[in-house]
Amino acid sequence: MAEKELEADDPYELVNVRFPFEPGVDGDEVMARVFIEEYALMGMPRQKLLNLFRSPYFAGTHAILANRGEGFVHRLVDEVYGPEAQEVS
Amino acid sequence: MPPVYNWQLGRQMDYRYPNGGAQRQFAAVFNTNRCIACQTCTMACKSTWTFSPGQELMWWNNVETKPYGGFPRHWDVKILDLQEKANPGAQVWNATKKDPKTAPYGTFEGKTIFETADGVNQVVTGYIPTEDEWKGPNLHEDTATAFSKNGVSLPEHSGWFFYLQRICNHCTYPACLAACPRNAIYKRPEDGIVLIDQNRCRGYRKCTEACPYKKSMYRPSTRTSEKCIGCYPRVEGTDPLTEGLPMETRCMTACIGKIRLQGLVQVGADGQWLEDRQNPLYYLVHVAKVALPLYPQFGTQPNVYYIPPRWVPRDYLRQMFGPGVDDAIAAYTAPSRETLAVLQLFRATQQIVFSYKVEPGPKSGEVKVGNQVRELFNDTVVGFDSKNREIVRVSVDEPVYERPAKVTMNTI
Repeated sequence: MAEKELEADDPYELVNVRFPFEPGVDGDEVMARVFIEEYALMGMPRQKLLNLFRSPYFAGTHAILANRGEGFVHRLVDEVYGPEAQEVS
Repeated sequence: MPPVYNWQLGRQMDYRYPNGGAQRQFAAVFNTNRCIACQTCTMACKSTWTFSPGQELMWWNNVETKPYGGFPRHWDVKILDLQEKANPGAQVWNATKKDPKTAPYGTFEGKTIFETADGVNQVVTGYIPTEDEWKGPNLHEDTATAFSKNGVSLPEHSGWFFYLQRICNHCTYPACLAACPRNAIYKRPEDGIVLIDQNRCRGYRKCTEACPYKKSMYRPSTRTSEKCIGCYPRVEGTDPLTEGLPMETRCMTACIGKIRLQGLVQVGADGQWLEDRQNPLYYLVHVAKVALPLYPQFGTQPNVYYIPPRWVPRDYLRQMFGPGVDDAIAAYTAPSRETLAVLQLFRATQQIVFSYKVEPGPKSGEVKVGNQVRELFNDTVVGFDSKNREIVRVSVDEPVYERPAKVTMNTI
């Protein structure tokens, strides 16, 4: 593939072309942070934000949770919102 | 050709006509970070202006997927390529030669599309897209091709791109207008909207060839070219809905993602924006500097500005929006209280907001963005119409209604 020039009339050329991330950069983490910070700055409460990741109706955020797990999302949410208040026993 | 000043390039450039003396300019800001490509804007425009025979391939508003989508296909790659061939290796910016007012992004040291043309065969460097290139906007651009490991039936995206919303830029130095041999294209002094006089146009397609954004389109059924008219009856305020007050265009008001804000800014005799600190567009472009022109190096001084997507490789964005990208993303990622408040004006009203004020509110929380802890305040932004009457009032902490997961549809 790489040694052949792109051809403008190739019908498969434009299917789902994505941006490359630098080697070592976790693309899911970059995007998840964008989602979280964007909503956090709009004043969205933590629980509602987590719901965006859990609900399959929100395809982008849900794909991150499905691929990387709850722990991954919780860690990033905690970094932005601060650690969640724990119940005092 | 007379020299004109292009503040986006930070220098004078050659243009076919002297400044036209517009008093106000149609302008808009699009926040690419919030667009989901629902195409509601596209359909709002289509169903209003281009639903007739001969207009099948016309999309005055379109939303394309980047890096490799485009309508018409490859429009930006092709014009960038033409420019590079005309001035090889020299299409560069000098970001150190800055001035806050006259050269906020630095100075473009390459050539514009007016300067690379020979002036004999072409007034403007450009090309006419083939019919195939106008067909199938969005075809395969963001088709999901990956399947979840968990057996979910719908395919999903396995990577990230961004959506670019495009309409006519109603440029200060329109390439379409410069290229028209019939002088059929004119820029209105009252709002800077660029129109094609359908009686004068003979369909030579010089405008289609010249517009670097490819927003002038040929209509075979009338043998004339047509383009976005900036919904001028709404901008004029002749729509009965607002009782004579200027209203935003169809594509803007239909935006469900609240990514668009459009208005009118005051311009001076030299074509530059006059200082109008409390105009939300002036604030976003010239004060907060979070919104940037699309391919400013073409030299038309476009009037639609974009808040660049935060996650996209910077080299790509610098080519697309110029060297102001890093500062714009930094300012948007860590917004001031005022910027957060002004962003709430997006789609808060159909009427054009001519000025705003921010009323301070109580602290509502803290979040950590990047490495900085930021205090959030529930400020209120108030928008005013052309007669300085309050038309909208929105708080930063906007009430959220979350639709239940199992909603019963069409229960009428």
